[in-house]
Amino acid sequence: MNDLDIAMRRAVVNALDFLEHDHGMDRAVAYAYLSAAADFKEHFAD
Amino acid sequence: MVTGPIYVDGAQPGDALKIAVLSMLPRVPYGVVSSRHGKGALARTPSDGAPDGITLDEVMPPVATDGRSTGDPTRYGNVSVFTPVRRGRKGVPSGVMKRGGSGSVTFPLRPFMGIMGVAFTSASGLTDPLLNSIPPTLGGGNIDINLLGVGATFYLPVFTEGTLFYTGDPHHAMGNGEVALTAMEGSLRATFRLTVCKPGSGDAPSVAFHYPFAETPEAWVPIGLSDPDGSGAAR
Repeated sequence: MNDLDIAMRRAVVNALDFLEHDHGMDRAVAYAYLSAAADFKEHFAD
Repeated sequence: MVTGPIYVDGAQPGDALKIAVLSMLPRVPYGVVSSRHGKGALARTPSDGAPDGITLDEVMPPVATDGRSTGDPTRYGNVSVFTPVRRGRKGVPSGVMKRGGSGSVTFPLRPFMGIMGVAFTSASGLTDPLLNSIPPTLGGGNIDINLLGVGATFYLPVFTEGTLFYTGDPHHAMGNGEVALTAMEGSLRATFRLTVCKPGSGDAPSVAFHYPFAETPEAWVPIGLSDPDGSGAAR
């Protein structure tokens, strides 16, 4: 399993928590919003 | 939806096709973003566990709403969010989603075609797995690069006389990662300028004569594919 996939999943969960708890968005709508409007970037640290 | 093919006069195997994206006009003031089939960045694994890095509670769609085992598509727990388009700040067309009881969030549209491709192989019939339109190949296809909107140029190798260009899968906007599975899907009227580039002419990047390549006004866009000859689709 790619470490970047793990980091990406955590970023998505944290984004969902933020949109749901801090901004009152329904979690499923927030997921759709991220799919259309948010850019997830992966970065190798070395 | 996918439309085509378009025969391009003068295109011969060994050439490159230059696809300039001239305009992308939304044909309807709405799109739909979906999370379906239990797919997406936070989906359960095939053995119904949590993928590495998150817990079962964090899986999307939530395990409690996942009714795929019923075999009834209306109970799968699919989510499709209808997304109206409104003029946002400075008149920029924007997608609108609900926030809280009466609020909203908006994001600017960045329309592009998810599918742009050319014929790249021959097959035994129309339903041959080699002609599957889902995996992108050396002939482009479902390339889903959100940089390829108006002003961008996409290059593809030519494999057959006339190259047979096709396009489809219109997106009003798509985030990198497309985490819930789909972009904001909605009908577009797309206009392209197709130019045949001959080897040695300098009219296309050298890579474009054997592999998809792209450019935007700001950047060159080298592309890598996990299954460039589409053989995985036939497994």
